[in-house]
Amino acid sequence: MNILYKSSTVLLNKYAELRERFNPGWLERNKSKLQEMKLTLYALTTSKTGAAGLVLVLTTTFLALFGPSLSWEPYDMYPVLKNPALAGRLPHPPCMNDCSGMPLSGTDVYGRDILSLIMRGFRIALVMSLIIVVASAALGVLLGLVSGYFGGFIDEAIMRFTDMMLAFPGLVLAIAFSLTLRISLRNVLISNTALTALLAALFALNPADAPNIANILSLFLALILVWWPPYARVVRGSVLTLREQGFIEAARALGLSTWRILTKHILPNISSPLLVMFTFDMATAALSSAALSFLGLGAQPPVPDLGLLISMAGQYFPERSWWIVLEAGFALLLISLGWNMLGDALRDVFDPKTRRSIELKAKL
Amino acid sequence: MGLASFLARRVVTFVPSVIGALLITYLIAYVIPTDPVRAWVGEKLLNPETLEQLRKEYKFDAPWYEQFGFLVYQLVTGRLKDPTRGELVVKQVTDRFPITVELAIFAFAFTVLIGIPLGIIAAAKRDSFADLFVRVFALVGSSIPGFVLYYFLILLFYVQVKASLMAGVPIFSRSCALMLEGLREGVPVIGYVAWALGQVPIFGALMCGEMNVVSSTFARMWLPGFALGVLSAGFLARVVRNSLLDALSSDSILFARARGLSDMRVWRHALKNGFAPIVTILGLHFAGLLTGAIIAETVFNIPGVGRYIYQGISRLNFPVIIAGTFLFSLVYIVMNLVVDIVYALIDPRVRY
Amino acid sequence: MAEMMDNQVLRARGLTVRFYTYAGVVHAVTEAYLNVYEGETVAIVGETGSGKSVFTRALTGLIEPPGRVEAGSVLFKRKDGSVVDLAKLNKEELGEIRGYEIAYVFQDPSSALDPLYTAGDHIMETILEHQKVGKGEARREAVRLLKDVLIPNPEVRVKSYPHELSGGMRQRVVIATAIANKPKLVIADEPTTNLDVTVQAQILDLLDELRRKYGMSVILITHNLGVVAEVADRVYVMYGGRVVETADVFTIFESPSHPYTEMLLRAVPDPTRRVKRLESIPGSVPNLIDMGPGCPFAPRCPHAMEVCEKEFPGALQLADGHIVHCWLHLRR
Repeated sequence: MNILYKSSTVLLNKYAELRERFNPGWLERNKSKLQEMKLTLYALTTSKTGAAGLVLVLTTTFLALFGPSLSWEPYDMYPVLKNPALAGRLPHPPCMNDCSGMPLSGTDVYGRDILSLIMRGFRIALVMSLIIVVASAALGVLLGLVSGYFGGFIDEAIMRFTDMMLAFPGLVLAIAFSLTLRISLRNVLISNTALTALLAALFALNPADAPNIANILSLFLALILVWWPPYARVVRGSVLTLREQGFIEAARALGLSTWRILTKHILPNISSPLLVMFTFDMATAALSSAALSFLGLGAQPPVPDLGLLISMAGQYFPERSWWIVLEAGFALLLISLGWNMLGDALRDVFDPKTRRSIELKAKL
Repeated sequence: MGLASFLARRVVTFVPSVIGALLITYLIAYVIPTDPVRAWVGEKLLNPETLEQLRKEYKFDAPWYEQFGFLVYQLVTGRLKDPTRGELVVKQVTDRFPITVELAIFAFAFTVLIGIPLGIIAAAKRDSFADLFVRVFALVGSSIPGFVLYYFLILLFYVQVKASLMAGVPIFSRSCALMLEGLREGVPVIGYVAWALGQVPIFGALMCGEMNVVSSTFARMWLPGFALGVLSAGFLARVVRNSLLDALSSDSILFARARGLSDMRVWRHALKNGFAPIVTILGLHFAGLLTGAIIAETVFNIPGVGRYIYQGISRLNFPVIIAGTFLFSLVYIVMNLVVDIVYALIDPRVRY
Repeated sequence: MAEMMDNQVLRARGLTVRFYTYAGVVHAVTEAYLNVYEGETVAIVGETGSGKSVFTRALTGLIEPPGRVEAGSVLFKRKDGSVVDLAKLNKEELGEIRGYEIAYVFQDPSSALDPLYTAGDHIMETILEHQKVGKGEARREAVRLLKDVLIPNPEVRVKSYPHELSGGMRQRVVIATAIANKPKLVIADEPTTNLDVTVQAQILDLLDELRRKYGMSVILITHNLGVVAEVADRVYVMYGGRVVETADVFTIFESPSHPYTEMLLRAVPDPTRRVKRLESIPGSVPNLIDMGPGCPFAPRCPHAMEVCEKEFPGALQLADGHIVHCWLHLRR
């Protein structure tokens, strides 16, 4: 644990030095903010959940970034096509001893190495979660800020809309949206190769496979549409409480522009609960997108989406595919567990009751 | 009197909410730029006459509001038909919904029976092993992908050990069904309630005393119920623990102790205060079970309403989509109502 | 072990309470003492953080971890005349005494009363816990007690929930639960601080009336010297967890001996005089964490000497019942 803390503070100090060089006086103005960050890092690295979560998140992020490059098999080639004789033995279970060239971790029904697929799967899962959470947070925060700060009719309108969205079971709505979108998006992507190439690069997929990329796009757009209401709600609530506080009134009296008040005064004050929401949502988004892929709403084969892999394994379960479910499931578990632990530890840092004991132990 | 007007107000806002829900779903489905009728009929039968007939029947040539009105009217009068199977949608839903309710009850029972005692123990023995266990359980429970767990539970309890059935859902006999109908016709109000309750297979069997049905229901449903319920138990335990700890550190508990009240009386104060916020969470959770069990129903092969509606959505089956949305919004509205009532019963401050 | 006087109700000696927190050890109360006699009102005066609340809670063992009563004896004469050391009793025995022989009235009646229980519920459960009576009898007694605390329409109010009552009425309900079993001692911790000024006077009068009527003794914690002058018979002044002076009420006001008491009295503005500035005591509340051995008031005391930082002065009896802890007087 100490290593984590030491290395992260070194990084933080280097960053501070850099800022200072470009912007002299920055250190003085942001001393307390730096202190706060160091405290957060301390809390994260000394609590067992925090440290474990941090390690898991860093590992899975590393795998997401470099997995596709490190994986040793392309995902869109089916070994069984080249070697039809294999068909009877597929999917092939993992084998420890020499099994005539079959991979250690077992294959899927097309003969592809599961582990290699999973390495690519991390990228898809994490990019998907990131896009979903960042986009819905941005949308939700914006709407919540506007709704809470301006009040009146705008507030009513936005809140009624949010309530209607929230009244729906999210899963059903997401399914409906993704089905709606996938067909129209297919056409959009086929005509727009630049966009397709960009998305393909993000997910480490073959840009020629436009329909599948459209499927993925429809999935995360659908989830974004369902995901933003809680953010709007939370942000609006916080803004309402903050609005009544003296310093907002003072800022207005000083003539600060609305934009400035929102970004420099209100937003930083609500960043703590938002950050906690964000980390937990990363975990939930990973699981939700996997669930929807499992139901067949996301990418189709040959894309190595973790949920899809498990779904395909379903018909051969259990004797002929238990390793697929185990390995892919474990990968998903690592991703969500890491973010959940991180969120747990962060929540303790921001909770004033537990915060005190952390502060005193840190003695920064 | 305060309670009655409170209820009346809640029921009145019911109708606009449902209509709003229906409208949204319909518009979503409507926006899909494909020909749904084609999708319904499937790739096989492309007989142009049949297509035209279906189009006329479902008013596809008419403007969208007419189509919407038509569908809603059909729904409300119970005449809505599923174009792919030619049967009444409402009948399908009323046949399948009680099964989903049964699954939800089993899952809910597991969540509550595991989660609440764990939470109470964790609060009573703070910072002990139980407390740590609850934290870990909650964490792991919310990180495991549900469908993976389902598969492994099936592996464990069905493949290795035949401790569960996996096909069909046990239902009470014909004579029992007739008896329940008789109750509905014969006895006013209570009879209707009894009949409605009895639609859930296990309750119906209990009321008729058909114990073999009851036991086979348990054999069939305990595994999916456990699978669906255990993951949320950790979360519930965590919430219960925190709520109880908050209640235990309150001034009214100090005052209770200062009056020399016995531990039992003190805990009664703490539990009553601690559980009020949990009621809301439990209510919403149950509503979520009723509307979101699609994956469990698929994996465990349960003919519930979730799977039916999912299939309807994926085949752009408008009537099914409309019926499904109506059902789901009904579930949420009723559940919210129930939660509000229970809350008002517990907490006297809420009644006005 | 010294004996209690015939008319003495409580004799606490050397009570020390520490809180073990992450920040360090909080010396909440150090070697505090207290005498309470029959039928009198004893006031404990001090600022926030002086230890008065913790002291009175520690008397009946109401301290929860991370707090711990480290030392001290609390001799208490029960209704049957027997004398017990509360500090040595176990949980059940203390439970018998709390609510039956010693009762508490806390500062905030809104948080003390359970919002899910009616006024009658509170009183009844206190009665039923300690006395072998039936529910009907307990209910009748509850109505009678509400009448005692001057709540109008007691038969109706007994079924009221706390949120249906005003602040003053809530405190009356709390007082009713306190006197429900006719205790020998009532400990009131700033019972009127959260109430309107007009209601304050009523509540204090009520407490005094009840004390006389039921022959109880009252320990009144307050930081309001006006209240002390009104109702108290004797006064204990606490600072930084220690008792620094005690005397009867007249002596305290006419000849305060401890520098803190003097400054406290000077800080009360005289409404008949015109002043440009109000007097206050310079400095701030002491840090109770890992406190040193000296007098806690030393940093703010205008007469502080070297010895004040090193050692806490022992008791000096200036007159009958007037004790002060100050090196200034010990030197003479």
